[in-house]
Formats: sequence, C-alpha cells, structure tokens
Amino acid sequence: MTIAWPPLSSLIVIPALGALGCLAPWFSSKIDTKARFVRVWALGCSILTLVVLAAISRAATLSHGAVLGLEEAHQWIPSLGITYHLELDGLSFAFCLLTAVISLAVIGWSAKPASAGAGWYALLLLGESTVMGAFLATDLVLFYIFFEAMLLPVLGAMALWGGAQRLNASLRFLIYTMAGSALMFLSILYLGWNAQAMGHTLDGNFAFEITTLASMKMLTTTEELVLGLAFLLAFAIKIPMVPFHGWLPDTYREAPHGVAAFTAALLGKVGIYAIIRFMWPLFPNFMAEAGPYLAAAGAVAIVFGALVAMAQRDLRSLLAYSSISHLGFCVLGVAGISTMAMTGAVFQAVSHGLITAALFLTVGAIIDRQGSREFDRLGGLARSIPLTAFFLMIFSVAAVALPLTSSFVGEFLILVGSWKLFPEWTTVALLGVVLGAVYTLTAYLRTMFGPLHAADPQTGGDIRGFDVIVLAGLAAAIIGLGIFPADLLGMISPAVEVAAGPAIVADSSIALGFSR
Amino acid sequence: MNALVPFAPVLALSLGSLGYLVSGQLLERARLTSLFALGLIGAAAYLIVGLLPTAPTVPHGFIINDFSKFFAILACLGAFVSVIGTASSLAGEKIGMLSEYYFLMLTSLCGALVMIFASDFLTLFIGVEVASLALYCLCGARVTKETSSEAALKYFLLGCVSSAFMLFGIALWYGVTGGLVIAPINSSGPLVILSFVLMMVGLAFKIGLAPFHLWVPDVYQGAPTSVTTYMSCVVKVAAFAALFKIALNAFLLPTEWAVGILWFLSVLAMTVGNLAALQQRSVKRMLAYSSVAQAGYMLIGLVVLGDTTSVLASSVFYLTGYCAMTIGAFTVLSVLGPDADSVDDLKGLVKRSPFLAIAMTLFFLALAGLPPSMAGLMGKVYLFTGALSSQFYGLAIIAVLNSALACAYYFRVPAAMLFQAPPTSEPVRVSVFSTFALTFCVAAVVGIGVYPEPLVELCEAVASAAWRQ
Repeated sequence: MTIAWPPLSSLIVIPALGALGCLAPWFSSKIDTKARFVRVWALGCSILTLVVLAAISRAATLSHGAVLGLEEAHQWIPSLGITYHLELDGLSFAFCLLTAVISLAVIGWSAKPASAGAGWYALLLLGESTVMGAFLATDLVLFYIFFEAMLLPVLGAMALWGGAQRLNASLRFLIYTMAGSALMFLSILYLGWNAQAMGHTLDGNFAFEITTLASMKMLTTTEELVLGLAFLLAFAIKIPMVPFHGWLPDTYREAPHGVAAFTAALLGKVGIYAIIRFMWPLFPNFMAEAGPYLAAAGAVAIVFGALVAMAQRDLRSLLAYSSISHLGFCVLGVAGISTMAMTGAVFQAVSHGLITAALFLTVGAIIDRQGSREFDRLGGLARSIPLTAFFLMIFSVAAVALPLTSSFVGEFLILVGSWKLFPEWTTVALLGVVLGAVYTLTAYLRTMFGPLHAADPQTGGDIRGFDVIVLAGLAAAIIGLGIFPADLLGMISPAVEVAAGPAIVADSSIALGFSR
Repeated sequence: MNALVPFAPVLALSLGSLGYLVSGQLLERARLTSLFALGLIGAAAYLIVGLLPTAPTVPHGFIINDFSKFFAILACLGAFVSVIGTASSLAGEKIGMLSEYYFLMLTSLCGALVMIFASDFLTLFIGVEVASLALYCLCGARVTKETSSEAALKYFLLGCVSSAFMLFGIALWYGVTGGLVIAPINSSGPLVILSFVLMMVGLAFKIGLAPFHLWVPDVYQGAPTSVTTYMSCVVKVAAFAALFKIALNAFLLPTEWAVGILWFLSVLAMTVGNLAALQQRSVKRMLAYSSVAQAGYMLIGLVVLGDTTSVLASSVFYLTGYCAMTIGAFTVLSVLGPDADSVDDLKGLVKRSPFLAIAMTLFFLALAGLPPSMAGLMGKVYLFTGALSSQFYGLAIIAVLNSALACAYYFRVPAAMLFQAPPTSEPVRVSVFSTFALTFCVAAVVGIGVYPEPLVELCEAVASAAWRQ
C-alpha cells in the first residue's frame, strides 16, 4: 500500500534537517539562549519523528489490518538499476520505534560531555536519521549507504567527547566495520549484476531491490555460501558476535555515556534486523545450513559474554560484555526457521535496546556523580541516591529477564522457539540466563548496598528533572511491553513470516494468539 | 580558415599565453595575471563546446569526438578551478615571476589538450612533451625552496627516461605498421607487445601508476601546492585519455596479454599506493600515494573491458569525481599556507576555519568512498559492478579490500582537523576565490554522488565514442 503523505522519507528527513537546524544558531552571540534553543529544537525534532512514526503506523494499521506494509519507491540511478526504495512493515516498525525512542531518550538526557554544544545534538540527530534509513531501506545499495553512514555520527561524537584513548578507539571501530562491510559491498554488487546477467530484470539493468532479488531464486549453492558469508561477516562485526567483538570493549569504554547508549541500543540491532530482512530471503539454503553454527555462535556469545562480564571490575565494561551476552539471544533467535524464535529475536532486540540504553544512562549518572566507575570505589549508594537506585533496580531485573519485563517475553519466545530446532544450544543458552542473573545482581549489590565508600568526596546528588522523565519513560516502555506484548508481537510476527520467506515454518504464532 | 577550426582551442591557449611573454612587467599585477589566465582557459573551454564540430572528425593529427571533447573540457575545468582556488596563495609561495608561472601553466594545459585530441602517435608525443616540459619548470617555480628545485630535477630526469621509453615504443610501432596513426593492426607479434609495454611504461609514469610512481610523492610534496593542485587533476586526465585511446584503438583491447599487463599494473598501483600512504605523516605525500592507489582503481574500467562500453564509462566517471576531490584537498592545503604539509599543521582546523575543515573532511570521505560525499562511493559501485560483470572477481576483491584498508589513513586527517586541539587559535583567512573553488568542489563531490544519473549517462556516451568509428 502506498500513501501520499507523510512519506516514509520524513522519518529520515526530519532528524537530518533537525541536525542542520542545530548548527544554525552557531553564530548567535548569546551562549545561554543558544544552548537552550538547540536543546529544545533537538528534542522537538526527535519527538516529531516519533509522532510521525506513530501516526503513519496508526493510519496504516487502521486502513489495512494488522499488517503494515507501506512503501515508498522512486527511481534514483536508472542506469545502474539503483532505486530509492523504503518500506515500513511490522519488522521495520519495531526497529524504527526503538530508534525513535532511544534517540529521544539520549537527546533528552541532560548529562552530556562538558564541552559538547550544538554539535552533540546534531550528531545524535544525524545518527537517528541514518539508523532510521538503514531500517527502512530495501534497496541494497541504499541500505549499504545508510549502513556506512550511521557509523560516522557515532564515530564523530566518540572522537570528540570520549575518554583519553578516544582516537584509537574510534580508529579501531572504523577499521573493524569497514573491513566487515567491504566484502558485503562487493556481494551486493554481485547480486545486482547477477540479476541482470540472469535476465531477470525488466529493463535489462542491474537490480538491487530486495523483493526483486529474493523472488528470483537464481543463486547456486556456492554463490549462496560465498555471498552469505560475506554478508554474515559484516553483520557479525556490527552486532557484534563473538569472536568479532574486538572493537566493542574499547568503544564502550571510551564513548560518552549517551553515545555508548545509542551505539549499544541501535547499531548492533541493524545486524539482527538485516539477517532477517536480507539474509533469509536472499540465501535461504545457506541460512538453513548455517543455522546450527549461528545458533552455536549465539549460545557461545551468551555464555562467553556472561563469564567475561562476571570478571569485570568496572561498570561500563560489565555493561559492554553483558550486551554481547544478551545479543547472543537475538542471534540464537534468528538462526532457525521458526516464527516464534524470530519474532522473539526482534522483540528481544527492541527490549535489549531499551534496557541497555537505560542502563548505560543510569550507570553514566552514577559514574558522573561518584567520579568513579570501579566497583571497589562504589558501594552503599542506595541511601544517598535512592531514585537512581530505584531505576537501576528496575533495569537490572529487566536485564535478567524477570517476568513482567519485556526481555522475559523476548527470551522466553527465543528459547521455546529454538528448543525444537537446536535443543543443545538452547540448553547452553539457559545456562547463560542463570549467569546473567548472577553478574547483574552482584553488580547491583556491590554498587548500591554494602559499605559506603565515604572517602569519596564527589558524592553528588540524585538524578532529577528531565532525567527522571526519561528513565521513567524507558521503564514504562520496558514494563509495558512486558505486560502487553501482544500488539507489538502481532505486528512483528506476520512481517517476519513474509520477510523470511516461504522457508519459514509458521509454527506457533497462532497457538500463542499473536495474529489478531 | 575552416581548416583551423578544430585547432582553435589549442591555438587560443598557446597564442594567448604568449601574451604573458610579450607583456612582460605589464601583466605582473597578481589579480590581473590570474584573471587573464582564467579568461584564456574559459575561452578554450568555450571554443571546445561551441566551435568544435559536433560530428566526429579527424583533421590532420587530431580527432574530434565526444570522447576527446569530454576529456578536454574536464582538463580545462580542472585547470580553471585549480587556478581560481590557488591564485591567492601564490604570493605566499614566492613564485618567481607570475607571468612566467601562468605562461608555463597554460602551455602545459595546451600540451594536455594536444594529448587528448591527438590521433597519431607523433602528435601525441608532442603533446606529452609540451605538457611535461612546462610542468618540470613549474615544479621548480618556488625558487627559494630547495625541495622545489629537487622536485623539478627529479621529475625532469625521470620524465625524460619515461619519454624515451615511450618514444621507443612509438618507433617500434612505426617499424611494424609503417605509419604513426593510432589505428588497429591485425598483429600481436612480439614487437607489437613490446611496443605496447614501452608506451604503457611512458604513460604509467605520467599517470603515476606503480611501479613507475617513485617521483609522485617527492614531486607532489616539493612542488608549490598550487602546481600540485593543477597537476594532480590535469595530468591524470590527459594521460588517462591517451591511455584509453591507445589501448582501445591501436592495441584493440581486450586482448589477453594486454589485459594481463593492465591487471598487474592496476593491482600493484592500488596496493602499493595504499600501503605506502598508511605510513605518511605528510598530508601531501599521503595524497600523492593515495593518487597512485586511486589511479589503480581508475584503471579497472580498462582492465575488465568486455564487449560493452559501460565498463569504460565507470572509469571515466570515477576520474571525474576524483578530479574534484583532489583539487579540493590540495586547494585546502594551499590556503593553509605554502608550508602546510604535516598532519600536525591541520590539527584543530575546525576551530580556526570550520569551512575549510568541513570541506576537507568531505573530500577525504569522498576519497575513502564514504557518505555523505558519495562521488567516491558511487564511482566504486560503478567500477566494481563492472569488474564483477566481466568476471574479474579477484580484481574486485583486491580493490574492495584496498578501499577498506585506505580508510585507516583517510581517517587520520579528518581526525586531526576535527578532534584535536589546534596549536594556535588564529583564524585562517580564506579568500573569495578559494571559497568559490572549494564550494564548487564540495558541490561536485556531493552532487555527483547524490544525483549521479546525468554524469553516468554522459560517461556512457563518452565511453562509446572512445572507439574510432
């Protein structure tokens, strides 16, 4: 279905224009009004994006039942068969919603690096715009452009306002992702040419649009293997999957809190999304073959991340490795052809995005106020900063997937869904659930309870003002999705079935009553 | 009189530039000399577009078709923008005599046009020599600086040797065919192969393809930045035009042995260029090695040439985008001063001049093939799709890995400009001329990437005219 207004481009254009607008009052002489204006402007832009997204989805859902399927397609470079093609279905919607919410939260979060001005908001809005684009694009070249572009704002913000080793960390991040995506770039071009060579395109030109490519079924087994591996490498680095996580500890240690939250919540999700959106339809045979290995990689990541997280001595590193562990569930979920597991993986990706962003922000507040990120110098904070302790408690129990939180729904669906396909790896993953509870709650205990390290002079105040609203909003979303997951699941589930193609076993979505 | 029409652009340039020699001190006022040069280049470009016959013609020694006209326009445009961009920094570089400087530059542009229009080897060789001899002198134009003279001498000595190679190749060609016209022969005997190899050595030297690139870093660094700006674009355009013309028309690519040689040249250039650039602290040397690597990419279109012209079009497309990137990058350096060279000189540039820093970042992103300045990215899409469609998988993989590797050093300059503290807070003054040139280059690298369709179509037309009818 195509609607005239608002086109899906507005989801990309509004934040991008917002970013430009942030730089507009650069020349104003009044510093104070400038700072306030930019903040309000950036907040306004990100709220507007969220509203537009909600409006689009609502209008489409009302007129078209539960299944979203909005498209916007224009010719871009006809000579090369490259189109400007965006699509919003339930799958994209879940991730776009996450992007809009996280961007709003990070922009709204008042604590930002001391030297950061308008550029901070501009880069965050640019990040929102490009990530949104990656979740909407269905033309592979367009997707690749957004996939590369979303790196730059994050890299810029990290290199401008990060820790002491920020330049090395940025360079390492850049090299990792560029090395990963280079071969994917080539594979995309190969697919486009192959469509032409097989004579499948209407105008005898290249074709890069995913539905066109997927409907052709033209790849040999060898081609699927080679191209699939190239795609998988790019996404494995982006997610990141063990052992391609070399960029992650540095990045999460050096990045400012907001950027770490943004990166952890959104960038890796593009990999999860792309495996469902692009890899399953394009390389169904390869994915069926690779499924067990992918599941194994997911299970290993869950346990590895949890074990390394247990050994960490500072809060940010613990969050970094716990992120690897939680993303392992998503990888396990997308490994098999089960609607339930895949729906669970998308839901878990959204849930993890919310929780990890909330955790990075809360922990950031603690670190800023206590002046330390190490367990040995933190402790007994529950009494001095009760509100922070309260929110951290909510997010911690959400992270360990307690019932009534969103991650419980996600992990439950993934584990049940993949039990039939990969029982052994699901068992390993279950072990990870236990380990996750151990390190998360230990960390909470050591930070909030125990002896107070009164020697630390920098004990600041509790969170207040807008930050409380941000955290309360995130907490509400996490618990809300935990109690009423059906609406979102009902959107994701059919979209996943369509996206992953006929290969998928429509096993249990009806039994669970997701499809309304 | 009509017989002279095809030669009008070249005549206008060469006769017009004589004005500098006649006028002597009269034209020594900085503003006036630059404007006169711009006027002459503009006139030449106008004559190419407006006066040259639209139908392909082959007057004495020249060939006028869409292919040669496009390259001639590109060379004039490159010269025009680089003259505008660097005119105001000439004073700082202590160029000896401004009138001589512009005389030499216009003469070299004239030689480049002769290379582009030539339809026989003798004319081509004259063009090469005119362009090169003027450039040798230009490289030494910064008379007070030792490295400038060193660059000139090095360029001259090595250039002479490469010319000798080329001349020997032409002599062999004459021996085999009994003529000098760039036209197909039905022979691939050892003499023909040797002739091809020798000519390729000569042209690879002019382009700066590895392993004949050793002069590139020294000359790019030692020559006045304004000369480097000019030469990084115009010489490449002219030499690539000559290379495409010879390879396609005389040696009838794709022939297996020639493809093998070009494949090797291309892979060697991009790998050697990128590996060497990784270790540079000097931005000029980095850009010089990067130009070696980029020339390797541009050769891909010729290597993978199948029966279609669209593959060659991708090389033309990439070359066009590259001209904007390299002119822009060197113009920024020239604005920063005659001795701005090390990465350290660019530290914190965003605090001293946001415009320069953002423009330079866009040029480097374009060179690295990253958004938002997507001229490089689109060029690579075009080039690599061509390579894949001709089943040159190995070449495509080496090229794409090279472009990932290149990000490591392309990142360094924007990182210094944007993320590091400036040594001084003194703002950089950018003249109106330079602002105009830089804005043009930024518009080109962004515009070509965002809306490439018109240029793609133009390049297809140009490439299909590369074969003599």
